This record gives sequence, C-alpha cells and structure tokens, in this order.
Amino acid sequence: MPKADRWSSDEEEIVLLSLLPKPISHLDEGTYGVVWKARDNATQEIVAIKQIKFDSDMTKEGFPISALREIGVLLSLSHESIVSVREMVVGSTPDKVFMVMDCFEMDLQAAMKKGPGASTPFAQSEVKYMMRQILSAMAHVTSIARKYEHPARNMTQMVVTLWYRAPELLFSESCYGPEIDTWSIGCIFGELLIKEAILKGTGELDQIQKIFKLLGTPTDDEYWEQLWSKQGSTFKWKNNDSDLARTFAVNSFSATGQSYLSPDGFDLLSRLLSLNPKKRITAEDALRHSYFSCGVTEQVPMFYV
Amino acid sequence: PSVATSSAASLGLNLPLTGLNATTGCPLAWREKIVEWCYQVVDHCELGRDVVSYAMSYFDRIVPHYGINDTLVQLVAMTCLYLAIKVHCSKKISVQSMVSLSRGSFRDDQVLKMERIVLQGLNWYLTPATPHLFLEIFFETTQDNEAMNEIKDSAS
Repeated sequence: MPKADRWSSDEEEIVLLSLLPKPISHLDEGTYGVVWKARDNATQEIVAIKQIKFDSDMTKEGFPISALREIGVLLSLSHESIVSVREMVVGSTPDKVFMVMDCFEMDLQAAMKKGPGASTPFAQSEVKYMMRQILSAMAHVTSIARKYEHPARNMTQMVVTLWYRAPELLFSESCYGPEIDTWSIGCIFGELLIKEAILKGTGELDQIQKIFKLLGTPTDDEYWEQLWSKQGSTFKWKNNDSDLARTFAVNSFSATGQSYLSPDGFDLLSRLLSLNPKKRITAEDALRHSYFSCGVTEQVPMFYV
Repeated sequence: PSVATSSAASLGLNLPLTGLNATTGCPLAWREKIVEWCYQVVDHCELGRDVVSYAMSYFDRIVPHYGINDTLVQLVAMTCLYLAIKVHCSKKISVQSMVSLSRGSFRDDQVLKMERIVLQGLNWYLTPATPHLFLEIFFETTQDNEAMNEIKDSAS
C-alpha cells in the first residue's frame, strides 16, 4: 500500500468531472468528500485525491455504504468519459482513506461558466459532442452496473441532486432503474442549451410543480395513475399543458441566448424528459437517435482546446 | 502470513495458527459450512441469496493470502458477508445483528477491524464478476425463466 506522502498538494480545492454538475445545495455538499489537487511525487503527474468522508455512523457500522458502492462501481468502470480511480490509499488513522483519481480541469458546471463566454450559448455541434459523451458514459454504466439497477439503489432516494431528480422519485417511487439517470441527462441537455439549470426547485414540492409546469401534468397516463393510486394519493394537481416547446425554441436564430436546436434535438430532449419512466428513452437508444446521425457534426467544445 | 498474524493480534485473537496450507486456504468442508451459514443468515434476514456469491468471492480472494485458523476463518466469513450485504443489498443489516448471528463469538469492533483488512486485501474491488452473475445474465439473455429462478435460489 503506497504511503500517503507520495503526493504533495498545495491544498487547492478542485472539483472532479462527474456526470452531474457539482452538487448545488449545501445539503448535498456534505455527501461528497473533499477533493484535493495533488502531484504524484513518483511520476510528477497531477491527480485528484478525494478524501472519503466518515460520518458518526462510521464507528458503528464500519466503512460507509455509499463510499463502498462508489469505489466498487468506479473501479469496475472503464470509459474515456468517466473519471477513473487509480488506487485507494490508506493513511495512518482509520478515518484517512483516499481515492486517487484522474484529474480533470473542470467539471461540467465550471465548463458552462467558462465556455466561449458565460452569456454566449454553445454551438449545437458542441452540445452534441457533450451529450454524446454523457450518454455513452451512461450507457456504459448501465451495462456494467446492471446489478445496481433495482433494489440495491432504492435507499438512494436522496442521492440525486434535487434539480436533476426524476419526478417518480419525488413521489417516493421505490422501484426504479436507469430511467432516473436518463431524466437527469435530459435536465443537463436543457441546461447545456440555455446555460442555466432548467428546473430549479426550492424544495421537493416546488420541484414537482416546476416539472409539471414545464412538461405538463401527466393526465391519462397509466404509470402515474398506478403510482398515485398505489400511494392512495388524493392530491389534485393543477392541469397544465407542456411548456417544453415554448421554453426550447426549435430552428430559432433569435438572440434568446439559447443554443441552436434542431427538431431532432428537441425530439431527443422531450424523450429524455418523458414523465413516464417506462417511456423514457434509454441512454443506448438515445445514442442511436437521429440527433446524432443527422444535421451538423459534433465538435469539441471551445473550452477544451 | 505476517499480515495475518499481525491482524489476528490486533483483533485480540492471539490464537495459534493451525498450520493450514496458505496456498489452498480453507478446507472445502469448512467452506461448505460457511456457505450454509451464509444462506441461513441471508434467508433469516430475507435477502436475495445471490449476495452469498459476492461474499464467497471476497472470501475466496482473501483467504489464500493469509494462513487462517478456524476461529479467524469464521470472522473473515462473517465480515465478507457483512460487506457483501452492504454493497449489494438494499436492506441494511447492522454489525450487531451479524455479531448476534454468530452467537457472540466475536465483538462488533473485531468485525469492523476485519472489514478494513478485507477491504485492503481485496484492493477495494467489491463488484466482482461472479459465476452466479454470469449465469444470471446468460439466462436472462436466453430468456430461460425456469433456469433463472433456479439460480436465484442456489449457487456459490
């Protein structure tokens, strides 16, 4: 086991490129360990070192479950768009456990701020490039981590940051699969287009209202009728029509600050943001969508070059 | 072997090693008993039996590294099952429950210390491809539901 002093760090805090933008609310911040940028003194490589956060449970129930799962999954994944864990390092005391990971310059959220200028939208070709990266990473995760799909994850209701949380989770659906992740990707797609989170709820109820306002209230939907009757819900939601087409303009050259969006792109967006998780497009199918095969070709975003 | 000795000592289990062959690890009869015990625990806690395949994968990877006596083997087995449940099951089983299921052979802190030893011994690889997982995917692909249900109740 390598010694922790193999790495030196100027203790500058950095963030990792992850599938979701950096956690937003303070509540979520606590679930992530602190990440440091460090130099590997043996190879001079720059790495990111993440210290596993131990809560008070640690003494009672051993190594934290969420960290175990994250380590387990990251170690078994190998994909160019997914941050890889190089090794685990154990320090002198039991609360010092570190993940040594590849270091990325910035995460998606920082990239959105940098880009070609905070107010300038990405080109459609750049959005496409990033969406393909995210979707292919997700397709990889889904194929590898298939065992995590169902019950193993139903304790993770609180794990997805509120703004990216699928509607069924907000109604405490306990049995779910990779559809919750494709919902999050839909939210990110929208965010890449307007450079701002599309569903910024202030709480769970507000989040639901924002979702139904944007996408319409699910009426005559078998899935939602079943879920609500299963829960004995008597709450009546105000009937809304979908606002998606008005929010995201298709083939528009106007200076709205939105990236150009082809009809194919809009179709993909609405399929990712399907309220019915059973009808939501899978990451794998999304990669086969005409959005990627037709229209402008992908291009590496400016902030990468 | 030196790791095992020091681990045993740090666990307060200063028991003499019984001269087990370090390369073969644990005798098959013991292994069988351990699997049986795992099934009992898993059935008792109403968990999926497939978690035992992960526990035994951990166990088989750990044991050959350390010459382990019969007491320590029980602790290692229990810890492997505890760890596999943590990683692969949605239901939480506390250390205390695990300890009481061993009829008080070990203390909580011994399990937790062993957990660290096992984690490091496994190099933190907690999601192995087990034969059980392979069969599950295989029968899912062939859509053989009968075989599918059968392996859900067996293996390891």
